[in-house]
Amino acid sequence: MSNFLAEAERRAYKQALFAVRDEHLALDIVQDSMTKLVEKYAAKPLEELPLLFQRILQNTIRDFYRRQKTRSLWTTLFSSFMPRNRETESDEYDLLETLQSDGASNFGKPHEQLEQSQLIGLLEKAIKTLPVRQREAFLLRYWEEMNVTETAKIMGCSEGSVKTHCSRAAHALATMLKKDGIEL
Amino acid sequence: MSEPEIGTKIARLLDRGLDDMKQGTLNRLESARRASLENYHMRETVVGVGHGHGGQGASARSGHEWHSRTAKLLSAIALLFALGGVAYWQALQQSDENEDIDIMLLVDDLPIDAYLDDEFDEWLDH
Repeated sequence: MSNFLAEAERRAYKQALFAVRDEHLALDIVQDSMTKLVEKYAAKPLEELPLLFQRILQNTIRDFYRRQKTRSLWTTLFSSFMPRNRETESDEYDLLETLQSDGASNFGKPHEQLEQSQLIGLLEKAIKTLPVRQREAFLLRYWEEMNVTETAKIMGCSEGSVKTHCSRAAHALATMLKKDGIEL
Repeated sequence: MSEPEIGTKIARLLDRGLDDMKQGTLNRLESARRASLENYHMRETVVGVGHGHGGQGASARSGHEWHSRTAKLLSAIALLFALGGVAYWQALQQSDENEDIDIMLLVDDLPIDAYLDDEFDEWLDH
């Protein structure tokens, strides 16, 4: 179990970060998911853990969206009573630029590595802009290497929907990267 | 380029991106993992000992159970006392009311017809 979590935690964190765009929330989501997996499925065989963990992770992310929806409803209701100081809202999404600049600040790295980290930065930014379901399907299929059936099970939708989401996501990413002058 | 090719290339790039994660984030992930595992191991140990490993009866779990049972028992006793108190207070209130009515009747001037009523005399004789 420990080895599995150690191997999966980074990808899980990144998935959560793509979804919620907040480092602390992403860490909370990963910790919650790990705790739930350990509590409920510690006795399960190792080969079942990836599917279970992904299901828990995606559900925890969905819970976050639900909470956020409720919160935003209340915020909208009370927004007329609040002073307007939300001009900096778009700054919330600067995390990738931070990560990117972190990567670029390693002066000791060769030029190629710098380019690569910039490319990864752009890619992560593009992934963040994908619609939620497309991103979920694409990451589960290609990054987590789940098959269509497993992905459909985790996402709670049909296999056809998974295929559609994946196809759209792949083409959207390729197009976005092409705009930035990157050919895959 | 086909979808699987795009997917595979992107996945490879994302994998490389994992190596560039901040050390602070990695440390926090590690401590989160350890916390999850430790919580589970602690609970497992407590359950194991609680179920009795050859006479280690005074385990943390059995102690906890004893505490919760005592608390439940005490709550039940307190509830019984409270119910008894309410019933006693109501009975007391009732008898007070009866006394008040008797006093009112005794003190009040009876209408003259009451003294002329034979049944009233009989009742008084009782």
